[in-house]
Amino acid sequence: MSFFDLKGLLQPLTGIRQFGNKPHTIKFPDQTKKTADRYRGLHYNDLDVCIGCGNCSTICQNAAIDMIQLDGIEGKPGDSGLRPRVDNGRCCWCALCVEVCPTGSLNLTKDYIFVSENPDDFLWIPGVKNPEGKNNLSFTSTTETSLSMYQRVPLRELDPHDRVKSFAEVILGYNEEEARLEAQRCISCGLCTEVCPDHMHIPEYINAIAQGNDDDALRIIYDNNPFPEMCGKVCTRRCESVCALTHRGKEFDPGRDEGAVAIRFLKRYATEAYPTAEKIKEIVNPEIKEANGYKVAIIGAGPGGLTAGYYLALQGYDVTIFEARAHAGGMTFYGIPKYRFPEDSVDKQVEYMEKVGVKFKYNTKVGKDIKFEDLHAKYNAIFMSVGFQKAWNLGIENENIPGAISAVDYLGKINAGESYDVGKKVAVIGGGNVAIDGARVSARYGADVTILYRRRIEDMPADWEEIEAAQHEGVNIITQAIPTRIIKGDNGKVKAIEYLKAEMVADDKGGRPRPVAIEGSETILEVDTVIGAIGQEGDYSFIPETFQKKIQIERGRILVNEDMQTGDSKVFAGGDSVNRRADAISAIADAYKAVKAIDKMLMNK
Amino acid sequence: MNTTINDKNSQKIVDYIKNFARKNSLFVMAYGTGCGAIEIPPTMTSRYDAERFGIRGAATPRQADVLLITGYLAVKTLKRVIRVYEQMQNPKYVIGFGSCTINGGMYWDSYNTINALDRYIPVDVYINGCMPRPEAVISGFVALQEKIQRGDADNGKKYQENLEWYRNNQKKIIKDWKMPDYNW
Amino acid sequence: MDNELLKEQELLNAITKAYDVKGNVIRKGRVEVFVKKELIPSVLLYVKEQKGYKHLSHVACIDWIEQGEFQLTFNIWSHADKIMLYVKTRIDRENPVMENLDGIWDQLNTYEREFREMFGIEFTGLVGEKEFILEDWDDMPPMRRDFDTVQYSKDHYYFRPGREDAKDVRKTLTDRTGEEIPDYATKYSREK
Repeated sequence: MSFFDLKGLLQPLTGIRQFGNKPHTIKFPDQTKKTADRYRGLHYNDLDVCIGCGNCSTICQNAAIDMIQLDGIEGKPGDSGLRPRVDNGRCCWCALCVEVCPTGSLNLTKDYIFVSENPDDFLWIPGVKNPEGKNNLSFTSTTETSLSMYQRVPLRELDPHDRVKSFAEVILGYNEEEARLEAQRCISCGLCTEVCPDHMHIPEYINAIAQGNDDDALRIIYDNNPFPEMCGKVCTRRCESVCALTHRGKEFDPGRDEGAVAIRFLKRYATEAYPTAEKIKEIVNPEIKEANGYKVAIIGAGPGGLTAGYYLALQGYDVTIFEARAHAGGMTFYGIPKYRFPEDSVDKQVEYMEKVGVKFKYNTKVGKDIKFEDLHAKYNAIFMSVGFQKAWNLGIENENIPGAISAVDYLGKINAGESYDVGKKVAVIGGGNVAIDGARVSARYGADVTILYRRRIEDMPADWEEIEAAQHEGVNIITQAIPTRIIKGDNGKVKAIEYLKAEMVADDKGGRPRPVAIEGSETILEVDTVIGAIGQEGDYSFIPETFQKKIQIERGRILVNEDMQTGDSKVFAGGDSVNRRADAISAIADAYKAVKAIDKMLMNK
Repeated sequence: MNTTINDKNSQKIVDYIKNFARKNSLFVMAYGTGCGAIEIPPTMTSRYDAERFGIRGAATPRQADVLLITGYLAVKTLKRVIRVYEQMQNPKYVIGFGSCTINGGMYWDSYNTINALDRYIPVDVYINGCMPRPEAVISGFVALQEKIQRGDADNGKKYQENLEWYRNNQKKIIKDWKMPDYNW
Repeated sequence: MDNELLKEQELLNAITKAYDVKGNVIRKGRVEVFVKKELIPSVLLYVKEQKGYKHLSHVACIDWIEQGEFQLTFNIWSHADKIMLYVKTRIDRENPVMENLDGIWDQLNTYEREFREMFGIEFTGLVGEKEFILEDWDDMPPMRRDFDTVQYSKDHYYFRPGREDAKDVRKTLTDRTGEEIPDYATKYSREK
């Protein structure tokens, strides 16, 4: 190597050719590297969409997410009022919380730079700390990628063509495999328990089913509902309407709560797993306290009366249920058609109650066969759950002629085993479940059924699946139709019904739209029978005047305090005649509350 | 030569110059713990080129200004970290990387890693992330530089003043204490 | 008999013929044998020296707390047969003593030291530092399943405060509704 090495001298100068090239180094802080499409940065939570189910908190493997109360966010049905707070000193951005968020409110953003001198700054309330994060979302979950299952396990039911031929139960329920699968969808948040009038322990028994422990599930169900088979079949299931999974389940079935966990059918599965009353007694094995000598009379063997009877019997009371009709079950027996709630199910439940010591007196109408005053004198407490027996009048011409009947009477006759000839063509007036029941039962007798309803289909108070089932069974629904009169035929029976077409007018006060009749739009529909199902009311004639005053009855409802106690301290009441919800589970809830109050009152004596 | 300047304004100017010099030559102790050490090479190399901020590596604790705790610390590593930290000369700074140094991160329930770093050595700046990307690392350094310029970064002194408290915490988990005590 | 599994069956037959052990062919290239603790050295030596299973690729220890046993699984690979042989043995959990095997494979020394530290299994005659990975450990061996690692972390490593206001969703709802969950149901409530 020579001393004068030209190559060695010039080589460094080759770097000059890079002069003017764009530098490889990024500028800071003006230029940050573009993140990947689904980059997982800091959390963002849409506080309005979030329902505080706490699923994120439960799934977090690092215990990084707390559910906390925030100012200005109140709990409401279907919303616990809590919101997640992420401890960024724990978070490892695995985004499991995003994957399981049932509403899709929790997401990760593209922001990832977060520097602080104070370690306490890293407690981060997504959505409060970074409201601008909404425009910067990066890692979001979709129903396809989510780890939660938003689609309900399909329920098996009879084909519409077959089911109109008989009163066989339409819905076949889940088998074991389906029930386990469906139960596993539950995220156990418990939002459902708040809207359940009876506050059943829903996440617990569903979890027990998911874990394959049906015995425990049944025991948990019987803790505050002694009539679960009925609830499993015909409950109004408010619980499912607030289920956390409905929020995105809607994507699969818009306008319905199909995405919700099938709480009702899981309860039905748990009870149907044990076919006899003996088996139920063996599994539930309730602790029956020693007889304490107090006597309680219960008027009405509907869901409320049975519930009160069962829990009072467990507490050691001597309970007698007085029922005017020949069969226990109240409206669940006489009002609900057998294809929805078979007789065996009622009998099984009643038999089980007899086994724990509840006494039944059938065909004993209080006020006629036995005096209310006598009951009041002989028993330490009375629980009344008499329900609504009397149908509302339609308030139109000729409504009392043969061929016009109320749905309550009609269903009562059919369910009691009597017959009633509806003829070839039937019009049902009303849009509730009772109307649909009347229509579907008539369809099973081969009639051509039309439902007349004042408002639109989406306004119908009946369950959507009932409406749909009726349509499948060939029931025709005429909406926005206001009946004006029933036309009498020559034989003195119903010949036709006249109705006016209506248009929906928006309510100025912000209520739901009202139907307003269109002048001159009279239409006549020829029918053989008109079934009215526009509502029921109570019949309190069995209570003597003096007691009526004391008990306080106002606008068809008995006034009670929060312990279900009426004006007479000895008399408690519950069910339809007290609450405005008019369903069986509310009656059960009332009775359960009354039992506690009766127990408290008598034991403190 | 150790002169004190009595004039308040002059002291301010001197401090400014001192802090300016310090913040623009941060020598980082080349000691990686946990998973975050892998983020250092991209930070130092041409893409992010941390050296333009005056950040560069130092071979030994005595030459270093900044100690990076790049992730979780096992008890065993903590011993070494304390020793390294105590060998460093004032002013000295500590940057905690990632969730693990703040509240345990994904190792929060481990039987063998500490959760909160500032119980054992004082920390100047935390960088969030698991792990932080090089941009975030540079942001952390910039935050540290701002802190130095403000004149707040005197945790080395704080450590000496509160040595007893730190030692208590350290000895609680390092049972067999065989460390030298330095005479600062 | 599936033709493809002939080699595996042959190996299993040879071992079961030579020793009083049970075993299965799991699938192609995978054979497991269940060996009593006392027979382990001779079985390992037999497969290593006579059957050509020379590569000890891994040893795993499993804590079967329900059965009160530890299981050691030796994964041994034969380069000639291309078969992974799992030799499995169970050790009593109350008195976990095992013969030292590092004479058969040197690398067993490392595994045994780890098991001694992490599971508390004593290998008679094992040479090497008592401390392997942990330093100053004075609690139960941490990989045992009855060791509560969260509690240990809480006791020793200080959880940063400021998160005490966290609420349980289920409890918030029961407080609001007055629902009383019976004791036998709480085990099905969501864990927090």
